[in-house]
Amino acid sequence: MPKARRRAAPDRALQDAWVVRLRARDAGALTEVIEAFTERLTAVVSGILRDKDAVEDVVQQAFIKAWYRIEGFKGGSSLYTWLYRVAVNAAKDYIKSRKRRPAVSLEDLVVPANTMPSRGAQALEGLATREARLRVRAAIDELPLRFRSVLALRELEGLSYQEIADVLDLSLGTVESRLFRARGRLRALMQRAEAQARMGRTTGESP
Amino acid sequence: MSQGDGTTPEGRFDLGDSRYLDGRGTPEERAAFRAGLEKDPARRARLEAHEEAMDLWRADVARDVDRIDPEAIAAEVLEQIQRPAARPPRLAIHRVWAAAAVVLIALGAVGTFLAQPPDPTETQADFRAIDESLIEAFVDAPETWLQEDGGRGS
Repeated sequence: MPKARRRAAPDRALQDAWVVRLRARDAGALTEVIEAFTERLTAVVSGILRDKDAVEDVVQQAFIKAWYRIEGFKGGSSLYTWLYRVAVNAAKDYIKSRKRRPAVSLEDLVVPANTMPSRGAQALEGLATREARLRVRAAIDELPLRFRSVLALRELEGLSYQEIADVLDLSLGTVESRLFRARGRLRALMQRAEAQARMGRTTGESP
Repeated sequence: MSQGDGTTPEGRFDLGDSRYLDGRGTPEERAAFRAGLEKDPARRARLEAHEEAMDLWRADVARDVDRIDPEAIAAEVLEQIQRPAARPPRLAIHRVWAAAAVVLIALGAVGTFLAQPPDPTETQADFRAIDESLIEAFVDAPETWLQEDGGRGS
């Protein structure tokens, strides 16, 4: 079962009140919204972007866009799914503007065994965990954006299929299909990375 | 996509795996899936590997979330929207295009007003020539008509 962080969404009445206040250009409401949603939007943007330094800027941009575009919010969905949509679009805009940004490749993350410091099992375990974390991250970064977005909303934020469909403007069937394909692709990428890591270690250990 | 013995090909993620991870299906379907996992170590290993990978991803993302300060974000956002000239980027771009369009339309209007329209078939020139001949005829006419009238009247 997924262990995604499923934070309870703010009460719908509170969200509706925020919408009314935001439309009345109440900066206090914007402050409250930022405090309520920054962690959620940061998690999704961080899951989508490869460039960690850009996460904070993109989250800021998302709130600024939300402020100026609140009139366009139809109210068919809740404010928080709309904010996720604005954040995902802000992340996509950032990626489009930096299309030729160098990415960390899976090959770069293979650490040959003979380069690892031997400072006890605990240190070695920490390094192995870090290596595994970076390997996962690199594999996720290799996923196409449409897969990364849907996986981030599901696995990081625990959104339901319906909420993901609302955020990304997709049908429920497409959400299910994309999640399945994203996981399948990720599995293949992880297997490739693990095979390369094993090969690197074998090469490192050979005389 | 199970094989003949009820197991799944090693390594391949299938739709059933994905649905199970998301808690989809009826309680009976999920119970059957769990029972199937006992007989299919490859599938179990696959699901566990996925869960481990997701845990590591969440840990990676949590580092970014921990670093971010909502109050600082709020201060920065408020500062940006309260600047007098603050405009969302797309609106600013629209304004530039709108200004350019207005200038072009004005230039076009002035140009149309000042320029002589083309007259490729010389129709206008012909009319102008007819106008001039009529004016000349009119100028000459009274004398002739007077003479003719005088001739008749006399």
